[in-house]
Amino acid sequence: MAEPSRRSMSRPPPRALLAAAAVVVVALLPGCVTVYEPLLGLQRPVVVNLNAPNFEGQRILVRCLPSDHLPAQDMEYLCRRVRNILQKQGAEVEITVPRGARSRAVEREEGVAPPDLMIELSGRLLHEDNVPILWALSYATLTLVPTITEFTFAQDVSIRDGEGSLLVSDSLQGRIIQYFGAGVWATNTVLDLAVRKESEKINDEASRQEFSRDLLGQISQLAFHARTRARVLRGFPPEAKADAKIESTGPAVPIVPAVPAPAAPAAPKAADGKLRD
Amino acid sequence: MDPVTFTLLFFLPFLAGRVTDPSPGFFHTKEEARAVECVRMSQAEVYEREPARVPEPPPRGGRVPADVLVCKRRYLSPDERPARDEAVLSSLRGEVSAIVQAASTSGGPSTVWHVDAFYPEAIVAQKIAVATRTELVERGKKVSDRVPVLAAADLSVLGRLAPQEQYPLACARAFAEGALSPPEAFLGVMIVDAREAQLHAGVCLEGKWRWLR
Repeated sequence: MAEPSRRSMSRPPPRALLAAAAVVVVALLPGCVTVYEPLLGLQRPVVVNLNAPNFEGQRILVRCLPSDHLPAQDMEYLCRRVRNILQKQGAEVEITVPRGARSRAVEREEGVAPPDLMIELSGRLLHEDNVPILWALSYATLTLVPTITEFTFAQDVSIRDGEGSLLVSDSLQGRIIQYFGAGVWATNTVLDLAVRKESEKINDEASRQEFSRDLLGQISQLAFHARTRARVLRGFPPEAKADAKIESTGPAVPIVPAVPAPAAPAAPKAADGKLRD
Repeated sequence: MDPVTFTLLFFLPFLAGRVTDPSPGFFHTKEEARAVECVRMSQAEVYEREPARVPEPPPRGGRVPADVLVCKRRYLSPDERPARDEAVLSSLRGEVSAIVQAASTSGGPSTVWHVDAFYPEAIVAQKIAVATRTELVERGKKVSDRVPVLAAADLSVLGRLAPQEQYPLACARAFAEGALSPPEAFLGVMIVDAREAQLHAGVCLEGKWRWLR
């Protein structure tokens, strides 16, 4: 009786090993690696200070349009984030998430003044890469064979004035790549702990933060551009609001067409007093 | 098969496949990934433009059309220039093209265009002005290298005004003083607020200033 028991202690049955490995793999699976990559526009430098009162006195309506790939709850979350960032910059923000095709038109109550800016946000899925056979292979090998899913998306931003004239529109594109598998997760964790510096670490939280920072920064910058463009196109109308102030471009700006470029000196005056080429 | 060999057999080809991918991860840092701009295009479109870069797409109906990620590296890394300069210069071609297109509706075939840019950094201002002149020339316009100059007294007055008053007044004075004469037009390209990274423009024609954008 003692002998078989000793054998089982020294050489565990393969089933137990497999079960243990499966437990480890299942424990590691949720630790998938999410990578965010800005493709177009999202990595553009942002000039506005997101903590400064860039929109003081401005009334902004933010509309987040749901789609097949972006349900209303997600768009509502996005709208709330945009509201927070614009409110922080002094704007009075109203958000709306139209549900259904009929409610896509902007509806305003009678007698209520239109907003200064209307920001419309919508998302599109441009590309999706998800190979089912790789998933099967990954599960069959206890995730030793890694799996990748990839989404390329476009976040369309259009900004209109209160009358509906288009001021600014842009399409920001990015990519989300998700790696699944114990090997990838372990390798990435080792790199994060031992090799990468803090700003280079790759994990779900860092990817989420970077995407938020890029998207909200670009929306703020585009909204500021729309605001300036509206003022210029209206010939700088006098505004009683605090936002009427324009931040000086600094003394280095030649204020009028007066400073000739060094390479192109002013032409000498002719006898008739006029400048010639 | 020994588990280490098995893992290497599947894991190494996976890693090798990520070498050419521009996304941050095992082979590229986040900084490197942000230094490229990519767009997703159809394989057929890329093959038509640059046949050496992708294989010929399969005939219609053969397979689902494939997409290709086409990337171009920026000339300078993201933090090498101030944020506003980088934003303005990286989109200069498109901005200038839109400005010149809007300006083209003003003036006639005999109009001689004078161009200047108003930007806090003189070097960037010069680049903007040169790009605008080049775009005008490419569209068949007559362009002068000369920049109209106003009298010092005018400048001292204009210097105290806000942009909405500066440019129209400068335009009127340039015509009154003869710095610009009727067949000539002045195209000014500028930023009007230090917090923006987009270019505005206005045209001065026959003493009247008109904002284009």
